[in-house]
Amino acid sequence: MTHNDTARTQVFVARKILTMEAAQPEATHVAVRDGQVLAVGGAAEMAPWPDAVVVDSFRDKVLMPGMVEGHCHLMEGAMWDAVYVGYFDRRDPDGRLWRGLRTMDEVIERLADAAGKLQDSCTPLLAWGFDPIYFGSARLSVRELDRVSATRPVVVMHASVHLMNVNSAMLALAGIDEDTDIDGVHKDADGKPTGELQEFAAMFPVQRVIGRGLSLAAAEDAEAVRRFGRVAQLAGVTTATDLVNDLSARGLETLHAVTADDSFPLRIVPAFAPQRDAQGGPERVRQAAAAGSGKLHFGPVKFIVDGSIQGFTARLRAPGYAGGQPNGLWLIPPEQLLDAFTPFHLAGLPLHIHTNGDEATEVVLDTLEALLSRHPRAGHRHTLQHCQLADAAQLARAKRLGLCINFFANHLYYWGDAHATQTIGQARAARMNPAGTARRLGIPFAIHSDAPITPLNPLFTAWCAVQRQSASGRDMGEAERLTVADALYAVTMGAAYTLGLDHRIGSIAPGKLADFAVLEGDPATVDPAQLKDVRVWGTVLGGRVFEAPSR
Amino acid sequence: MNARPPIPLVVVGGYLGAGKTTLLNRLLANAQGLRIAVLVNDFGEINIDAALIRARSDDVIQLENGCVCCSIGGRLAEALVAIAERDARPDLLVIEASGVSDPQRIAQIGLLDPAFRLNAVLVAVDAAAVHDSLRDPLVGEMVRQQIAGASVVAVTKTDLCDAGGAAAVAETVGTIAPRATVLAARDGDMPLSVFIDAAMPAPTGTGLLQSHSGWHRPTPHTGIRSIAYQTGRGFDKARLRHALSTLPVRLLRAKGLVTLAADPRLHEVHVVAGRMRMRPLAHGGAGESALVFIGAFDAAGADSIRACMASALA
Repeated sequence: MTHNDTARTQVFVARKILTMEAAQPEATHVAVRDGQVLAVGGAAEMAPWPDAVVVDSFRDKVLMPGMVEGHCHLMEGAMWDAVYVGYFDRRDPDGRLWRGLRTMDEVIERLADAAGKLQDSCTPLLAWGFDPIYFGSARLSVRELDRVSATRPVVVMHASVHLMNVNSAMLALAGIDEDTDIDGVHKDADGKPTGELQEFAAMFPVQRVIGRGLSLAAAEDAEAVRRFGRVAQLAGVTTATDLVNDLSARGLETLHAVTADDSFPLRIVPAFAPQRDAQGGPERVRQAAAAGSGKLHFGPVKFIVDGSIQGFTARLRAPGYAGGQPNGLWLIPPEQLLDAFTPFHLAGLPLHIHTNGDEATEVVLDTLEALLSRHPRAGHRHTLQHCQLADAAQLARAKRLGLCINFFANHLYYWGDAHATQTIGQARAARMNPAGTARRLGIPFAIHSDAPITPLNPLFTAWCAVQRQSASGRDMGEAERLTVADALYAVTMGAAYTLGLDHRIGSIAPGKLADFAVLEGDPATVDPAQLKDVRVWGTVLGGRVFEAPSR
Repeated sequence: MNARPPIPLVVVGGYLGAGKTTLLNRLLANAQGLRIAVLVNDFGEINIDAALIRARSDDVIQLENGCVCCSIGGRLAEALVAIAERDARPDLLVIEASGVSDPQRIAQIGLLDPAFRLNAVLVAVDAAAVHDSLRDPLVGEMVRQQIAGASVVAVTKTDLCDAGGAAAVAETVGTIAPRATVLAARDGDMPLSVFIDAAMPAPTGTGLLQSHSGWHRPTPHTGIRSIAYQTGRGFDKARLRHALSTLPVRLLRAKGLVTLAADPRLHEVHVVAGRMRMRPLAHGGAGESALVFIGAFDAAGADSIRACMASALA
């Protein structure tokens, strides 16, 4: 196939090429050889390569740099072992659209349908993405799930991944009944378990039954990695992170094997998470990096400091949660942060630090200030991940410390209503994920999906940052909106910068990797409200064309 | 596969520097002949901890730290599944919880999963630092919760504060955890009976059990004793549950077999930190009810336990 003959010079001709390069923001032609861009411009600039293979199948399409998802997880690829029962539409790795389910009956119907397709009568049925927050007072319970099957264990993971609903067969298997006296087993007025389980102990028996399904250790599952690649490709993404990885031998072997295949459409950046495995420290990252490849880049180190806002486990400063809920959880003791960060900082590695709540952000700013005054390091690229509730003063400190920020823009849409009405109130919700302020301050920033928590789709994420509109249409704060141009920059160069890869990817320029998103429409000129609806035809990775499955 | 006897489980928790590792090393040094598996779930200090512990035991598994509530697929769950499936199960499983996790949440697995039986939620408290920790706006509430969930609090480093200071710590801890047994842990030393039943003499003889003063035998220097309660009558289930979860003594744990008025089958009962497991014996027939209560209570406490049990009879 000449399209994928990457050793020959190819000239891709498009209706328009958005380069993300200030000196030459737009073009129509791009010459590519050996996976790299040779030249960008018009037909005239292609003259030095008269023998080039001209690829003009994109003549009516728009190219932009392959998008970069700076905060997501390979687990997205593992989720599709289970049946999707979320409230919002979601596309699976094969491009099939799973309609969001708006009533409990629709949920039951999809589950029953999936159960009917299982051969063995005792194979557990596993579902994911259910979010009770959208169903008012209606609750999923054993009664409903027993309609799916009275004999087959049924497990429905919630979107938060911290809760699940199970049926009677699963309760019996887990040994959970009215006499069970542990936290996390929800009971009705008569003291009978409703099938809603949370907390480690209550969910453990379910883990026994479902084994490693839905595991964060998806890097060890070749098929999950392949599916992750397809999900990214469908969204126009050519580089994506796995932002919690233990760099286990088995995981690395799998990642190398899968990504080495020319037909795998994605560069992956696994971030080492010492909280998953403290052994080895920086040396472990160095070793992995030394064995890296063009499609596997190591270096970032991930730390998780607090929980989530919608789960009320993020650490908030006063006035705390709107309903007076107790403050959230530390996953690393604040006084240990400096010791935890220091060896990786000294090794020259970039830290990616999950801080959802503003108290967690404050503690991390304090820690990084101490770290950087003790051990100054130019161009460290330490990045605050999520950083959803940072205020102007904190952003100013982040700027002064030379930090990058990767905001969770998708939250504005998916949980905006919950934040305004339940977790923190409208005033604070309206300044969540303050990308506008970060832009004004000149902080390098990106925006992300945290897939599988929300769908991996940077054009949608960009739309969220531009529109700042919740699922119900609530205005989530005009002052922090981005322009379309800034949002598109954030999902390409912005994310590449946070990963220390801005010299290789994120824009279309001579010498950089030939990674493109191929779009049916022009995101730069479309009505900003339609940004999320720009169709992705596929991608080009290192000069090789990957057409998305037809829909 | 779960017909085998459950693995006694102790979860050791407490904030940074409270002395968890010292407790564990002391246990491993003192537990001659016992096969003890240790799961270390700590961060930062982990290399030091695990190395220190590994010097004492060859059965140490390190875990990732992190959010225990989202460890579906997590290493802790994987490790527990693996240990339960071992041909040679350990005599005791100790999980060292990280300084920021809530040990009683992990511990509850020993009240649900048939492969494990919770013996103690042991929380280490640094006598010299706990008041400061409790006042800390960042971690105070978390430290309070750790202590509140304990069945046993080990007060460490008492040599670093004067007698008045140690008494103040004991009072603070006793208030936060009104049902926990509070013990001073000199150099990490805890009675073995905190961890396992083997060190407790098994109660025998019904006459002795029923006597007014009760059967008891304090173990040296801790005042930990056990008393038994036996009866041929059945219990009222709801009242028994209530009585066992609100016993007016500082109990280490209670266990036994009971018959219920509404259900003639023998039920296994196990109580730790005010929570219990009660379920019918898989292959059990009928029989007399017999319960053993272990704790650092005095004769009056023993009497009150008996009174509580009597009040729960059908």
